[in-house]
Order: sequence, then C-alpha cells, then structure tokens
Amino acid sequence: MPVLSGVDVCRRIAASKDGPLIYRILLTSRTERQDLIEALQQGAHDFQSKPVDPDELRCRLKVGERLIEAEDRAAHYAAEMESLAEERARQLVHADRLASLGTLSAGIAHEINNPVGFISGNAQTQQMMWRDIEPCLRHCLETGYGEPGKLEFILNEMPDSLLGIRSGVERVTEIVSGLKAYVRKEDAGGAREAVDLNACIEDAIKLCHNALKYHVEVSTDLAPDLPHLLACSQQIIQVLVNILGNAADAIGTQNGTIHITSSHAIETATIVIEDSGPGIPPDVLGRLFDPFFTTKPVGKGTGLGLSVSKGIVEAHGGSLKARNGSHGGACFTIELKGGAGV
Amino acid sequence: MRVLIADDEPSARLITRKMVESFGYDVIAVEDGGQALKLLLGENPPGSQFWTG
Repeated sequence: MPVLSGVDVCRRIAASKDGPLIYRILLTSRTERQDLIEALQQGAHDFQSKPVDPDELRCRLKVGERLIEAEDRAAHYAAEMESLAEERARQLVHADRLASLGTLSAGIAHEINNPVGFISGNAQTQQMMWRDIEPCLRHCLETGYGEPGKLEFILNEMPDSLLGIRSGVERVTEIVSGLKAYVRKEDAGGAREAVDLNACIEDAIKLCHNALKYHVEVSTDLAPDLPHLLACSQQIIQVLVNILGNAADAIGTQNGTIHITSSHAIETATIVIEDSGPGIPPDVLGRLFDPFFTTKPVGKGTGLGLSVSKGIVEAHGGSLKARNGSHGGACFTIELKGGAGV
Repeated sequence: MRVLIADDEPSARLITRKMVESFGYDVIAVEDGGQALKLLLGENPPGSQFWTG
C-alpha cells in the first residue's frame, strides 16, 4: 500500500459519511499558509504544527470535544424529533380517517332517517290496526271460517312480528342518532343548567337497574359537598349509562361489582367508575373511543357509545379517560371543569 | 472520548501519546495512515473520535 499522507487520511475519513463524528487534527511540520488551507479544504478540522506545544494541543482537543458533544446532542435531538414526527403523522392519519368517517356518517344518517320514519310510522299504524283485525280473525276462527291452522298461526305470530319491526326500527334509530351525535359532537353541548353530578349518578344507576340487578353489586362513594356544575344533565346521564352498560357487559354473567366515586378539587369534579370485569386488553385501549369500534358481537353494540360519550364530555370542556384499575377491571374517569365556581 | 494518533516517527508518536494521555484521553497510537484508516473505518471501529496525524 502506498504511504498515505495525513491529508489523504483526512480526505478519506471525510468522504465516509456514516458513523459518529471523527474530529480530525492534522499534525504537520508544514507551516506554509497554502499547505494548511489545502489540509482544511481536504477534510481536516484543525491542524497542529510540530513540535507540539502541550497547551496548544490540549486546547485544540477541547475544541474537538465540544464539537463532538454538540454533534451527539444534535443527533439525539434529531432522533427524538423524527420519532415525534412519526407519531404525529400517525395521529393525523387517524384523525383524518375519523373525519371522513364523520362526513360519511352524516350523509348516511340523513339518508336513512326518512325511510326509517316510514317504517316506524307504518309499523305503529299496523299495530293499531291489528287491535281491530285480531277480534275479527278470532271471530273467523270461532265460526269456522277459513283454515283454522293458518288463522291460529297468524293470531300467534302477528304481535311478535309487529313488535319485531318496531324493535328493529328502534335499533336503527338508535344507531342513526348515535351517528348524528358523533358527527355533531363539537356542538353537542345541549341545554346547560346547574347539575348535581351525584343525582346524575343515582339516576344512571336507576336507569341501568335492569342490566345490573341480578349479578352486579353497585357501590358508591359520593362526595357529599359536590358543587353543582353547568352541564346538560341528560347528556351526563347518557355518558354514565353508557359506561355502566359496558361495565355490566364486561362483567358478563358472573357476579361482579361496580364502584362509583365522585370527588372534586378547586377547578374540577371527577367521577370514577371501576368494574370488576376482566379489564381492557392493551390492544383495545387505544381504539376504545373510535367510532364503530366494538368488541361486542355483530348486532350487539354499535361501537358508538364511547365515542359519543367522549364527544359529550369534551363538549362540556372535560375529559373521559379509560385505563385498567388496580384490581384489573376497567376504570373510567370523567373529569369536568368548573367545580366550585358554578 | 478517545484519540487516535498516527505518526511514522516513533519518538514523536510516543511523546504525543504521553502528552494526550496526560490530558485524560484514551489513546491508540499507530504508525501510518493506512492503519489509522483501518481502525477508524474498518468493520469494528473502536469509536475513536479524534484523529491526529
């Protein structure tokens, strides 16, 4: 190998882009200005003329050390920024998806509402008509008119059939209104009034009585001096009912407990609802509040309950958060602002 | 922080080495640029961040 000069080595190191910074000081006995300029142009950071003066070399090494440290910090910072940018990009894609979902939903909700209205109205009319038709059919049956088997079948099945239409329509209405609530969540304020959160909790428990009475024991620990909040009580109850309903579903058919606490600080009132269910799987936690995200079987959940609930709480200037509690069950925290002042 | 010194003159190499060690740096000294490049840009660079030569 031909002998490499110091300048050659500097050039070769400068040309290799990877890896951490290698600070290059050229030790040289050449002192001609042109030689030194050449060395710096070829990739040396600095030069040290021979014979070496210790204080001078120490200072030159210090300069290099500072540069390397700055470079390290910059690289670290750049890596941090990069991962932050990636995270933000992911969030943006997610938000964009939700926004287009919202636009789509608004369109669907609007289009579906009319035909659902026809079905619902006609089903009610038919139920009313059935009250008149039923005695006629019975009369036919008693007087031996028509096929008795067929008549009996109609008399037995018709009420259920009509009810089936009604409950199906109610379910569609529920989904559509959920969609509308999700789309409009920005102005889902509702009429605000001074609301006693503890009363909302009691009301929500009463409303969920059917789902809870057999296997879930509900206990409360409510702050007695909870100040009233400016809120829409109906919507707050809707949120609570939703969370309680989910808790009941999570507990399933086994016996379980739900514990509700209310508390307040200077600026905020907090409701915590913790159940003894299996908790929220980690992969579900991040998507829990996404519209249409549901872990329930097809036809059981709309996947809108929690996204609407979050929308409602946020429209109230508060926050709704989910985590797993200390006992492993799901734990929802509703935080509402304006604790003491209202 | 580590310092690699390349100098083909043994006494100069030794003096510079002792000097830089006295500043508290880890020092590797080699006798030519080829060795220096092999160390700095080879498969397993020792993480040297200074180079003088």
